Amino acid sequence: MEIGKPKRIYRVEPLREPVPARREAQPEPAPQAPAEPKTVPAR
Amino acid sequence: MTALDAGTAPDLADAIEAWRVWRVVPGTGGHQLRSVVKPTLWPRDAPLVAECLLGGSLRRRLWRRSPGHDSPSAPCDCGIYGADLGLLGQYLTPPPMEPTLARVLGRVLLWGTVVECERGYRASHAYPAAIYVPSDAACDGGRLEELACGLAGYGVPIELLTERCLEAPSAVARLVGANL
Repeated sequence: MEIGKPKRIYRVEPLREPVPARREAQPEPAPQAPAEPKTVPAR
Repeated sequence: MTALDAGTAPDLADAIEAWRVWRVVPGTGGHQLRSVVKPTLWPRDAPLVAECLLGGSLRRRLWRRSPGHDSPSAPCDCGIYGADLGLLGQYLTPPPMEPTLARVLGRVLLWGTVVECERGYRASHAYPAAIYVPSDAACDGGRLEELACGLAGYGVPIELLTERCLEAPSAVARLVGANL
């Protein structure tokens, strides 16, 4: 690209590197066991 | 110290924002951004770090005779380029037969050593900040949604434009409130 002649040099040091954090795969939640049917004692 | 000497203390604590055009090429695990002029692939999840790839003019060849220099360097033309939005139009239309999925434009963050020029910057480190896909960007007639999905690995916003390549810089300028 034709961006012309240099004018000035900057030293640019962002506090945090401006790269999005790698999105780690989230572990699948463990399947929950079906709730035990509550038994009501016969009276 | 001259105006072009880099000092040791940082001048800015925020990356500089500029604009550029990328080619989109097939990559492993998704599409990849590639520089338009040089065959440089932009990594995902890591900054692109500049190195001098220039040959050509006598001035550049003389400069390159010295042992390798850090990029960018003011006397050389090397570095990762970012420009004013108004300069991008001519780079959005690929030449015939270019092996490219598309050409897209976007905002780029520049940091490290940054050479400010008359209409843009040359930097040592860069990463895309946002990608805009013109409505006629896909060279092979592919779907824009698939193109955008393929670039998701960069983790930055991707916007599909209703405007074609020719009008894309003006459309993006209106979207972000920038001047051309």
